Amino acid sequence: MLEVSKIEVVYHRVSTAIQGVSFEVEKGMIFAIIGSNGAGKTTILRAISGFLGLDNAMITDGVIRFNGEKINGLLPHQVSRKRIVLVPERNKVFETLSTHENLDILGAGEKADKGSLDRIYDYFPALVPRRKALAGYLSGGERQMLSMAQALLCSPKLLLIDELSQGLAPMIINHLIEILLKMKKDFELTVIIVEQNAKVALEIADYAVVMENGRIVFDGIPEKLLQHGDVKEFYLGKKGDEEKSYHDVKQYRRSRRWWG
Amino acid sequence: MQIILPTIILSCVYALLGAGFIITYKSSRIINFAFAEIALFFCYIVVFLTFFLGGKTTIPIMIVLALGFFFGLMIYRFLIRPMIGESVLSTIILTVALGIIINAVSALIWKGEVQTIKFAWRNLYNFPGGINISSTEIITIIATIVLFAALGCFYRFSKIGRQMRAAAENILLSSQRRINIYLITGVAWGISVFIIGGAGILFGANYGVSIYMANVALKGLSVALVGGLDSLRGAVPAAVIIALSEKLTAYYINPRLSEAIPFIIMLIVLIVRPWGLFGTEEEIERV
Amino acid sequence: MSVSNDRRRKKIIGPYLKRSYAEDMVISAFDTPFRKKWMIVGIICFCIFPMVSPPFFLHLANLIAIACISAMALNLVVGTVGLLSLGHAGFMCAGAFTAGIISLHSDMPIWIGMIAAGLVGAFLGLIAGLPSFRLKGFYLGISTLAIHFIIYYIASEYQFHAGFGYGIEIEHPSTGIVALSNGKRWYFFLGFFVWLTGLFIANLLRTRPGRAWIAIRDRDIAARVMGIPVGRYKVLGFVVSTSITSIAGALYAYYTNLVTIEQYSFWLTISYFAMIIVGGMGSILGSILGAFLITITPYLLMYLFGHLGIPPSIMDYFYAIESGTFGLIIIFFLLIEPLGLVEIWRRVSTFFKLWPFRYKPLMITKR
Repeated sequence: MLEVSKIEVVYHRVSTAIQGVSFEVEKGMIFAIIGSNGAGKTTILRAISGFLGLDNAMITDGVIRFNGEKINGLLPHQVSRKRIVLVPERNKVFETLSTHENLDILGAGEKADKGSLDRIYDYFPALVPRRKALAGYLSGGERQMLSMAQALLCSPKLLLIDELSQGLAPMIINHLIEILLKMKKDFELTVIIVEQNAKVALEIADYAVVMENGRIVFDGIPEKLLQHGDVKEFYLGKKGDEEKSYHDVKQYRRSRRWWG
Repeated sequence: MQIILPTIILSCVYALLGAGFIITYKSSRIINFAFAEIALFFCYIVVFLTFFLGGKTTIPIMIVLALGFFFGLMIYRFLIRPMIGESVLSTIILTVALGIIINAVSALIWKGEVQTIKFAWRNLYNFPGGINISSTEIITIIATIVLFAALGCFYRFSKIGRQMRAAAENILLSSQRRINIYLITGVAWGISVFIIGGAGILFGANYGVSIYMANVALKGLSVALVGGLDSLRGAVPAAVIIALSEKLTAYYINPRLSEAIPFIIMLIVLIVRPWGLFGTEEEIERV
Repeated sequence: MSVSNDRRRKKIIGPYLKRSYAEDMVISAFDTPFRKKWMIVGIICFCIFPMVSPPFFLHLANLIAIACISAMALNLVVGTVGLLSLGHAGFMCAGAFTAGIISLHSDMPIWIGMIAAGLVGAFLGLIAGLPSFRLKGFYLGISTLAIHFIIYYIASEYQFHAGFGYGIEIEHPSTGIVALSNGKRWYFFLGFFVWLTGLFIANLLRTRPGRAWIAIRDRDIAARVMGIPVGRYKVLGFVVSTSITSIAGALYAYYTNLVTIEQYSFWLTISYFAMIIVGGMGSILGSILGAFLITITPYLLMYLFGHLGIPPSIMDYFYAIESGTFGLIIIFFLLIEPLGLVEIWRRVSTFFKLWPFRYKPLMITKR
């Protein structure tokens, strides 16, 4: 469905952020991208969903194809029309609009109508009592729900989720994951999920890819990843079968990075 | 008693001037400092077209209003759109520069002559009690009410209005949510320059077309600030307060002080409640 | 291999290799051989220029120098601290009038006038900075605008009631040792102050206040959470900036031998904002480039018009044409490079630094 081929993204015309990234996402799968901060995970999602001038970012090499059609360099609203929708990491909702207004924002002539608005509230019942509240005053979990609901209203075929679990309590994360899986089933979505929390991502993924420093360094099905020593070390905090502290992990990683 | 009608008219004009600033702010978080110059320019065009075409001012006014919308689209396309994402200060300086250019053009062509705009319907109505209303004043009042009602409903209830507010707040997110930001923001600018033109024309009809307009446009800014830069609703009470204070001061205290009153009120409001009487509290900030 | 080879390598690489934080933070124009060469060339050009240039260009250079000082001060408060200060013209006016009043009533050397102007400016900056405890962004700008109008009003009242119809006139000032009576002497005097101001601000930026200001500009809530007393540093930013601005105003008064209220209208603030925005905000080099460009523009236009042989009837509208072109130039530069001239400079230098690569390559990771 989505084919990313040797993508290179450059920021401010100077710094390369990701290079040589290639992968393929098939219809109906949940595709996870894991990696640490600064690896370029958000960049690859933004590259798929489109850059605006203000990002100072360019795709300088490579091709992204969605169902065979090239979508590099399209603007975000054009990409959204092709039913690829992004739930961003930061600034996910319109803070000066109320919750209901945030949802009621799509133009006429698109599939969103009164019926689908009500159905969305079925998926996110926690938002119902907060309908009139300004989105700026919502809590982190509620914002994430609002953002996902907004994305859902754009009738996506491919949903890109950036850092679902960022800043949220584990119980809320589980709740959101449940809702996500339900959404995926009901709407036949394909999902690309970017996560720092590798455990959460690998639990639900059908296929996963590890990014480090702007490149893909490892990929495979979650079982394979879960058994690989490095992944366990860096992202799950285990050496052998014991838990390791983050400090030890970081040291080891640094040495592995430079000396191979 | 003498001052009630002039105060009402002044409030209407101030409210519309304030609306011009508010609409620009609502659509792109920018204060358009070319406001006064654009209004003046359009007034001169109305006068010129009336003279050129002969006949009444009605048709030139409609032409100029349509031109205003188009001009707003052009300003967006060539000046604002390239600056998406740059600092607000740079874009504001851009509008200042635009104002300078339009001012220069006006000065070159019309050399700062004083003109008036006379509406086609000219009549004076006398009511008992010594109250006289001229047709111009009636038009002003009705136009203000209609425009405010239309704009208020538009922003609050229509989808496009919501999309405009969303695009003003976060243009990237709007684009990611399928809102065609170029179209929406362009139309928003078109509407805002349209309002600027309308406000200028009504001002010119009531008080004459001259360089003095620049001063009054600044008072429009203070109306917008007092009422709340993002609140159309706030412009009306703010305009009434300022117009009333100004007229009362002029009448009872000192005409020269009345010129400064709008700015004094603005300062007081800024200290006490910076986001205006009806504005959205700008404290929604997260680290 | 041999000792001398090692020493040579150290000499070539040495300046580029920083081994401690202190080394990294040194402000030096003479560290690398490339810089040494070009600094010496620059200093020679600087010294030769007044000898060979016609007096009009010397005058222009002096005006540019004063504009540089004032622009650097404005860039400090707007570009580095991130506060909108619309009272710039008012502060220059205050400095100028202070200098004027002092030189009227006494025959002191220029230092006294400058120090007094600085103190007056600092005091006004304190007042202007106080609202920043409560107001932010655009609203703070409005309050500084009010300060501008208040200063303007007081100064114009003084000018007209104390009987100076056309403005206060000042004799050529003296530094105590030598009288600043001709363009050449002013050139070196002002050049020294431009250098001093640039050094002062560059140094401030690497010390605690400078870091605090940058933190405040980027995210003032986070700065406060980190323990930076935001209000106090904002006021400090205002005070430093306005005192330098007032000194610049005093220098302008001494240089042009005239203090009159008409020169300090809001238009002056607008042109200084144009300088820092076209030049590049938050950057010392940007202030200098912007000051250069904006100061030169009206004279350039005059020259062009004279050269093209415009008939005198059009000259009546010269002011309109000049201001119109001024606006066009600002728009042109803003559209071409919204981050200012300094960004163009950075792009050029990055091009040469990265060459033959186009972009900074990713780090190599071995797996």
